[in-house]
Amino acid sequence: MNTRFSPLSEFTTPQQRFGASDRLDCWLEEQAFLAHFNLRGDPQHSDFLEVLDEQIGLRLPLVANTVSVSQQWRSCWLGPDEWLLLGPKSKELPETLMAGLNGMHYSLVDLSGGQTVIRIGGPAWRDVLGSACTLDLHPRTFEAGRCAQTVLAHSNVLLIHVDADERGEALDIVVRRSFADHLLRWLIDAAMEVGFELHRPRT
Amino acid sequence: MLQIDCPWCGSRDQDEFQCGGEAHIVRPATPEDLSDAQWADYLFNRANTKGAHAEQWCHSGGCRRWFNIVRDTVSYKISSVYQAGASPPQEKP
Amino acid sequence: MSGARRSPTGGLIDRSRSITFRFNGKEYSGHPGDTLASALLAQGVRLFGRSFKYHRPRGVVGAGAEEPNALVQLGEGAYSTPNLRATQIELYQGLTARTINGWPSLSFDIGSINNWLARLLPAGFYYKTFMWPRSAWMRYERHIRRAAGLGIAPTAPDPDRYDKMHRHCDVLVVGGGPAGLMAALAAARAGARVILADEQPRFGGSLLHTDARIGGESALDWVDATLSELKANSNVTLLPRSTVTGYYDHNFLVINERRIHHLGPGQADPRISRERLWRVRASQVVLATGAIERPLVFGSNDAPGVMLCSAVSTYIRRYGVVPGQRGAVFTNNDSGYQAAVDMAWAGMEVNAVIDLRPSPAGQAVETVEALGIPVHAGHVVCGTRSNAQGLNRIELARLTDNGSDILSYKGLLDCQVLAISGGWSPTVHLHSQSGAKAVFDEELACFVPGNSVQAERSAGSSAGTFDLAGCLSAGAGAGVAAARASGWSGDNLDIPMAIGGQCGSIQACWEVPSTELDSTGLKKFLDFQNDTTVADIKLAAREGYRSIEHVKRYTALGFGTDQGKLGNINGMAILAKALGQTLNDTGTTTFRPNYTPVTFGAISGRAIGEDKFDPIRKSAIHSWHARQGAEFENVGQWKRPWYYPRDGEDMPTAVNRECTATRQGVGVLDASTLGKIDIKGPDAAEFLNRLYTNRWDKLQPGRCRYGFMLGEDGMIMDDGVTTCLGPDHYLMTTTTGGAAAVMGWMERWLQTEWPKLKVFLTSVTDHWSVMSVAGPRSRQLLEDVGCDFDLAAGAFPFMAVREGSVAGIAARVSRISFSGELAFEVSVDANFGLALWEAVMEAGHRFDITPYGTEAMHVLRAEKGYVIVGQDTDGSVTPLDLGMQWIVSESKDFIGKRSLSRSDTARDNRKQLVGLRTSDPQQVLPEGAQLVNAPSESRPVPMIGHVSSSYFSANLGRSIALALVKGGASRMGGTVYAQLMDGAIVPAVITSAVFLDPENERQRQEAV
Repeated sequence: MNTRFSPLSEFTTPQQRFGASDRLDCWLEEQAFLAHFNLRGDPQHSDFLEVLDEQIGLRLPLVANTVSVSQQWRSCWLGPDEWLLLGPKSKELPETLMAGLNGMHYSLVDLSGGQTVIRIGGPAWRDVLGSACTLDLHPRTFEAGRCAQTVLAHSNVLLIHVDADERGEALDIVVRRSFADHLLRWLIDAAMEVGFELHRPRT
Repeated sequence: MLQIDCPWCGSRDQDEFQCGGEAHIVRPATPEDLSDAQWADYLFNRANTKGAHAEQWCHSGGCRRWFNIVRDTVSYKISSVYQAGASPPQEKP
Repeated sequence: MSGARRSPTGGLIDRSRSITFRFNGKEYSGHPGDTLASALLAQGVRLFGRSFKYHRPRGVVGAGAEEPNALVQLGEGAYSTPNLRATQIELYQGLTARTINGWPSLSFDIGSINNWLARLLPAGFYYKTFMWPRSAWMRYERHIRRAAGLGIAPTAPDPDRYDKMHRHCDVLVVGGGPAGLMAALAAARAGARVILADEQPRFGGSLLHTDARIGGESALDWVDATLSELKANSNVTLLPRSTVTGYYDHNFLVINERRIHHLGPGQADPRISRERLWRVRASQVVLATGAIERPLVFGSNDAPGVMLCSAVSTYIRRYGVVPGQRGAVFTNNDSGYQAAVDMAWAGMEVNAVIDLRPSPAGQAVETVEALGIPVHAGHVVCGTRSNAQGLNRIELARLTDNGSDILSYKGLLDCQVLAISGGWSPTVHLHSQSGAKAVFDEELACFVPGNSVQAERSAGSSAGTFDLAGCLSAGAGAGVAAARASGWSGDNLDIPMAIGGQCGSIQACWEVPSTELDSTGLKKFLDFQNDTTVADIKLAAREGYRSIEHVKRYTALGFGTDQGKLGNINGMAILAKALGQTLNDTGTTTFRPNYTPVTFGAISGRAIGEDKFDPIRKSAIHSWHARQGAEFENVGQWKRPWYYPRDGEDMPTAVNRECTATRQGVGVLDASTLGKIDIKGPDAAEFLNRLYTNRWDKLQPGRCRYGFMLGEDGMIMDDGVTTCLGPDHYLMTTTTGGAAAVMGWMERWLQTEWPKLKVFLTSVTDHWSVMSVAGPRSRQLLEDVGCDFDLAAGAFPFMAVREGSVAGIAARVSRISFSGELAFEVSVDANFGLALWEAVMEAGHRFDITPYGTEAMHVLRAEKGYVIVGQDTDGSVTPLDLGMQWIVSESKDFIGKRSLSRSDTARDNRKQLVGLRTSDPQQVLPEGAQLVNAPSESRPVPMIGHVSSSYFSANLGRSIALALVKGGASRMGGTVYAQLMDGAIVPAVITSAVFLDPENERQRQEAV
């Protein structure tokens, strides 16, 4: 069995926890080895939507910058004909999905090795993001069910609002593998002021 | 720092966009039939408008879609946003 | 002595605590709440610097951002900051500061000799004297700069942190005075998200130094109550010590928050940034920026002790400073009378209020007269007299009835503090920066905001409303209106009643008349920081300058660090008069960001240093390279292994070893960084046909092909190998640096020009780890590693692709070669990239496997004459220039094809790719070296090309070079000459660009 390494599995920093006071108002962790699939297809084509619903129980979000969730998969709007499917660790998609899509103009590309997710939470996560993010992340505008692609610390990312984490409201940042180290380094620097804890990757 | 209304994602900072220059320059259907001068006109010559200017932008830091806007090159006011392939809106009287 | 002292009571200072600090090496003390200026004034310090040009002694004029004179170098060593205004520096324990102007010393200043040479230093002096001959300026500049003294930038790295914060809000209120507080309150009550920013440590603005009452309580109590409500509202962000420095397009504003300056260097929690640059996108903006009092312009108006009326009131009421024993007021409006009241309240002898209006009347006059202070109507101060401590007497004169001239001189009056008020200039800076144009209001005698261009509204004195009741009401109205405009339905506020803070009439006065010629009489200063005088402006007008923008640059009016906050309007008015124009005709100079100076630290934020300035992208195998001690090369944002030195090896030795090992045994390269794009759809082949110069419709699944992508101008943009993965499905590779641009380019054509083509693109660059296994032993090695498919040449031909398992990992293997050797490119899910690499290295022991870096890769491909886009091409090179006609299809159109037959592109003496061999095989030509036909030609020698790639080839035992040479393809065997930087001239023979294995037998290996 060959060892696999997630994009941030070798990340090192002098401090896993940092805060001058007792307060650590932000935590970060890698959500490693999730299944990432980039899906493209024509949402005007009703069969296309139906196949996804039937095969993996997913209703693709058709409203820009929103997320839909099924039992196993999260599907994020990336464009009018493009979605990111984020799934369980066993990244196999059912063969029947491919079979169902066969004959349609679609594209389903595995990006599981090329992306990872940094989850950031804690009471001060919005302030940490604010140091790099030009989006309006105020709860009035960025709430459950929302996602947004943007540029964070020179890196193209997808932000996904997380309301299902047992530790409270959080944010998933989907980032390309080669930018992950830079982005996490930046976030940690930005989080020093509020105090942070870097958790071990969740795998 | 402009704020641009992506037709899909809504208002975003200019940082997330790339400007593609003048819009509605159509690639000639049969380039081989053109003279050097006609080809050069397509290739190099641009209106360099002062005032309302239709231009292509791409939400490269977001949904990666190309679209068009009409932007005043003096005031930087954006008067309309429309999808790639659509015709520019008629100027209001 | 001036008689300056601390008042026994009063002021917003904490008298229970003392702070000691040093100014120009001498120890002083003050209290929390003091500024450096107030603490020094309280201890009788009057000289704060020397002026820029004439080196005249200067004192504090203002009490805030407008201060032109009291500039200091604050702090020591790496913390040292130049050109800070003493009026804005909050006192902290241990503060050290020194004046920036005053070389060699403040009290004896050799530069003041300039004062006697004033006639030789008119406007434009620097241009006239030093710009010709140019060499002379170089000689003088250093001395002039030293004499001028504009502070010193520290050389040590900044020890502090800086950061940025992006924020959206419904209403941004700029300025926390009466209007701003009311606006914030109104908008917050309506439910809007509000940011209230004020440059001072305390909110309140003018209310911090007034005896006015609001809603039946003291102004300060009202401020506190208002702030409590705002603080309790979670939708409100209060930013004290925060200057809104810039107003940009589409309601984007920048706020510079100074977070720890007031604590002193090294005293704050090291996690806290020193400054934060807020980047705010506001739906609506309320500009409650207040107004800056204007000086009156008269002879020797720059004496230390001449201060703005509002500054005198501020020092007395806010800081508990009695600025001198005897004071007087010189004004053209009612508001100046408050300074007389305040000076009397502080126990000073107030000798006179000199009012140039012929018959001032009303409450202000009555109040002053009731205090027994004589009011001299229709009089002016026409000059000052100073001693070593600054101002000690003023000269009075009576104006003619029409006020245009001096009627008679009335002698001298003892006075250490002359409070002056020429009216108020609304702080329209941000309004103007927003793109709007301020207009001159004759009745108010000031520029007021014009029509809004962006979503902003001015309120309070920044809009020309100078009385307190009016400011409260205007602020409330602006706050409600802004909230409504951003979608909230707020109710109008009840306006608390204001007592005091009235404002009366004004009679504009831009220059106090004098009977002598300006150039021989006492100088009338407009811009204290640049020593620009009335005479300079008039001279500029006489010399033919008409535009205020030109006059500004000629006279330096408003060019200082204060950007003319005090002097500009007077200067503009004097120019208007000299040109016979109205002030609206003359207009203002352009107001540009920043309102006050911003440090470079704040501008950079945390984007500094190697790890945060720009992303460092690393492949999944990076840690292995690092552990092996690889030297890295930057390729775009990527760090790629450059070479892997073994013990004691220098770079050439390591590269030669890596090259030889790859040609003789087996080498491995981390090729993960190449761009990769998944292309899918029924029109994918047609799309590739249009993108690439060669044909793609016949490429079968499992096969790959090399292609060139051109710009529409026919020039090579990118290259790479594209594989047909299956029906309608391709995987394209791009150059490492070009990946994002190529992806964008392809999407652009699909979306904007060819929307009917059914093709989907997905970037998969990061998903695949790619290792190139190259060399005659590469097949054996992969067999040892374990492949579940046949690697034999017959089963797996050159330019074929197989999918299967390598070392137990799902992999795609391509038989392609950039080295010219038998080679296999193995791609796996990047999570397994390191595992694959380690498995290959493990199996490679018996072949003495050699990892090679980008430098060896460059040498190996150059031996084969393979170009690197961006090195051997530069945006002006076509495939024909590379002698690669074979890759350009005649039978279809593609992007850039038409350009290949343009007259300039088709001519035969274009620069073409050739090889070069130097006669000395050890001589490696420098890349970039220019080539000439004959070194003896007369100058300028025509350049005929340049060396694009050049290496020592260990495999060939000699140097090789690729070059672009005019008409090179038809000059084989000819000689060109490289001219080197050291003057050496090296002959080289033009050869084919392929130095090794021209038949490609090594990489094809079909016979094996």
